[in-house]
Amino acid sequence: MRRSVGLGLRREFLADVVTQQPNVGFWEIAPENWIPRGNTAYRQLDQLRECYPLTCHGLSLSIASPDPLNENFVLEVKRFLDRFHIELYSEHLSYCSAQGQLYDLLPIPFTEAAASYTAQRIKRVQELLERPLVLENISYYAAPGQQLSELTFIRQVLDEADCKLLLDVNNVYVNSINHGYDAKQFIAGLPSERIVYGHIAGHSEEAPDLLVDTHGADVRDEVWQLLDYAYQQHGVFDTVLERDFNIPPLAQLLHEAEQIDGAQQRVNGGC
Amino acid sequence: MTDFKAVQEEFARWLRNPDDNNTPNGIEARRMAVYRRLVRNNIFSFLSTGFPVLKKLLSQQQWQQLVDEFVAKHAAQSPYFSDMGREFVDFLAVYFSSRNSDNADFPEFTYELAFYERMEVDAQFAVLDDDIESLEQAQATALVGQWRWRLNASVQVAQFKHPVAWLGSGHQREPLLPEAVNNSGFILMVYRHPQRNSVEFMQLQPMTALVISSLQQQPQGQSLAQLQQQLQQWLPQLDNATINQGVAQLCIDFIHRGVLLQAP
Repeated sequence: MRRSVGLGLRREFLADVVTQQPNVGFWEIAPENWIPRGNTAYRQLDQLRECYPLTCHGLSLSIASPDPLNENFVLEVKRFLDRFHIELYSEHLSYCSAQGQLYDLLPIPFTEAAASYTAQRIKRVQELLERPLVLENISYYAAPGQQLSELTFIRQVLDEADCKLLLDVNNVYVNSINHGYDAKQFIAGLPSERIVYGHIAGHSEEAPDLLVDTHGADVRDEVWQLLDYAYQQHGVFDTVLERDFNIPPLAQLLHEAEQIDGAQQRVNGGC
Repeated sequence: MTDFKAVQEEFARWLRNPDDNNTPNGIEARRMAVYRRLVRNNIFSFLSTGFPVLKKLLSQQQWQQLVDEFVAKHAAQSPYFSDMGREFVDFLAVYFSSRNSDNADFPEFTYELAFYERMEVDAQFAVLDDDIESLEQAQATALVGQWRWRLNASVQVAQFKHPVAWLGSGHQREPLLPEAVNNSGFILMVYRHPQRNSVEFMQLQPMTALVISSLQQQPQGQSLAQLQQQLQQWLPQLDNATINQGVAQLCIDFIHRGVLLQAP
């Protein structure tokens, strides 16, 4: 598989990964799950790092929180990134705390003021990290206080903060169903030059007009088609297959990840 | 407060406590229900893993009540999921700080058991130095007077009114409930064995607890003679020979168990 195809690393198959060294371009890890774990975990990561590039995908930064930014946490993430020579740190365009943690990704009100507020905080994080912050378009099930379209909101944040985008294709699909917009139009409207890498994952259907981004199932055909479309629009970008629940054996995930490779070759071959 | 922050606060307030707050303006109930379910299931899952004995000993309704109240009332600060259990114990300290109509039906040991189960988790994930080894009894006996000793970094000691380590029959080796010591309750030590990587517990006699306490105050380590002198100061009512012999015996045992490690 090419270097441009990644998998989300699960502790469940860490031992297999280190001994078998499967054919994966890079692994994505959540810094929150590793930073507090101490030297045994760090040794495992050192081993992994010798064989693969790593990217970090954070969970708890809460970039758009009404609570103050946790700068100590940002510095802990920076030390971790430096320690393992990790260039890419992505997070969610979201918040997960308001007067304390709620530990889940909540929808930012799509307003100009919220976009500016979020952009200011992103700038501060980039300053502390001495790296660009890459932000992912999240799945959302409700749009409280919405005044702008999601696309306008995202574009404003990216421009004001001068930061990068992680394009989660499954989230675009989920949101297009949940909020009745055209997924292709949304993808076409994103700035190519800011897209650093992508995510793809499975979702579950709660109702025909309400999908939930569970990362607990195989990727749907409609989402694979949308990935093709995104590559055609923006050029091929590194892409991670995410899986967090109902985790199949590693071999099966690798097989699914090969489809990313296939999509990338189709688009590149067509050029 | 800016408008969007008010919207966020309202959204979060409802998620924490949907019964006492209005559904955020104009949002379908089934969509809010997705968020409520995601938040609640995630926290339930983490806490159920972190507090298996407490969950087992409470009724399902009581366990749900505690987790729901945690979600509703506790402002958890740590961004690390692995700290959620500590946040929960902090919350329970407040929740059980006085007996009232909300918590009257819970067993007396609820808070203490949660505190103890968190000690086990902390011991499991404590950062130990690489390459440490516990010694055989004979080596320990030969070296106890020669080296300086420090505590295994995972060691934690706390005193309980209730025999929390034996509740829920998690420890089959100790089928009988022990006696409380001198009415001072149960002094329990939890630690991770450096080689077996298993979390162990011991009930401590008061003199043993003093030895641990002395070592906790001297993180750079102490010799056997220093430990004996410290205990002589703290226990003037006992004769020195008894103390010296007791401390030496104890240290040999702790070296063998991997509780005491050679100080650098």
